[in-house]
Amino acid sequence: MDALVRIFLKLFVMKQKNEHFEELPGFPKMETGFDVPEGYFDSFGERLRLRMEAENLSSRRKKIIFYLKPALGIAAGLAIMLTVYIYPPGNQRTSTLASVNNVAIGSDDQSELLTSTYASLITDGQFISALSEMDEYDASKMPKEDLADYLASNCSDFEILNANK
Amino acid sequence: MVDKDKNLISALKIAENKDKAFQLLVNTYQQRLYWHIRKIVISHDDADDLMQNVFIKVWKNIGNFREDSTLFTWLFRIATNESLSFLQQKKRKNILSIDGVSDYLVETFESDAHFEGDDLQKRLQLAVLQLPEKQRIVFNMKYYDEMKYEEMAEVLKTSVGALKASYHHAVKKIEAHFEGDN
Repeated sequence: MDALVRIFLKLFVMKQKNEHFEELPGFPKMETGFDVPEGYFDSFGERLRLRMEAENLSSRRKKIIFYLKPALGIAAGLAIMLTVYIYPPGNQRTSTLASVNNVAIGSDDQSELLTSTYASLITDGQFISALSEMDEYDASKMPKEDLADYLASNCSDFEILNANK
Repeated sequence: MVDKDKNLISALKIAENKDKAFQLLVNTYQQRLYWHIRKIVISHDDADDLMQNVFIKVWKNIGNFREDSTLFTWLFRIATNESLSFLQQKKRKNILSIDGVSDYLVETFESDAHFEGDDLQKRLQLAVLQLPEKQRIVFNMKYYDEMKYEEMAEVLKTSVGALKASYHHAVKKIEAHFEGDN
């Protein structure tokens, strides 16, 4: 056994048996010898941030999406209702929508009236003020996994970017 | 728990402060967590991936942190579990036996581009890699990190007595490994 290894082993075993053992001067504590690429720790935070953004984990992005969610939900609901009205299944217009608004079925102005009725439910101004008046959503109350699933299936980047202008 | 940690945890649980608090958390703990993970999985690239996974898990689960341990203990525990899960996956994917994991780690170590130790450090590392996984973790935490047994017990959820026994056996095996080498 070479001398260095013998010394190391003796010190190693002595140290492990006695927690108060002082290392001999000049004999360094054994480090692992592992190293990292230059600048690794300086850049780690940024790389982590980019990965989390790619995985939709940023809290800022979530906040924007939560403010928009109810408004987008309303808009989507209206779009569906209008689509069903304009292109009804089996060419039958429903009477429900018209009757709610006291419009006689068969009226020439029916479609225009209905469109304007629903348009009046949410004007641009109301949409914008709904966003600004909305209380800050407490994200901790909603399971994050549920949120991520909802975002992935319901909101596109295009919708979010354009609605936020 | 120290006040600094309490403040950090509180900030992490508030949506508007979370991003900044998380940045601080990463800056504060990244090095210590990295070296702990690295000593378990050996490869720098694997350690880098795992450390990102650890911080992402922390981001997702900070709301569930009950503060019944220190923040660092909690982080260390997640890092340990991620590293062990990684090795378990390696075992399953490559149908490795326990010895197979050791061989895999030795191979990884010998081909590691980010090792700059001397011959003695290399021989010690090879001796450590022969230990069973959990015993190796105990050895790393005690010898390299110089952690107190009580702190290790909190991280590993094992008794101090069991840890002392584990460390004692690890030292004996390393001693025998060196003597066998020569």
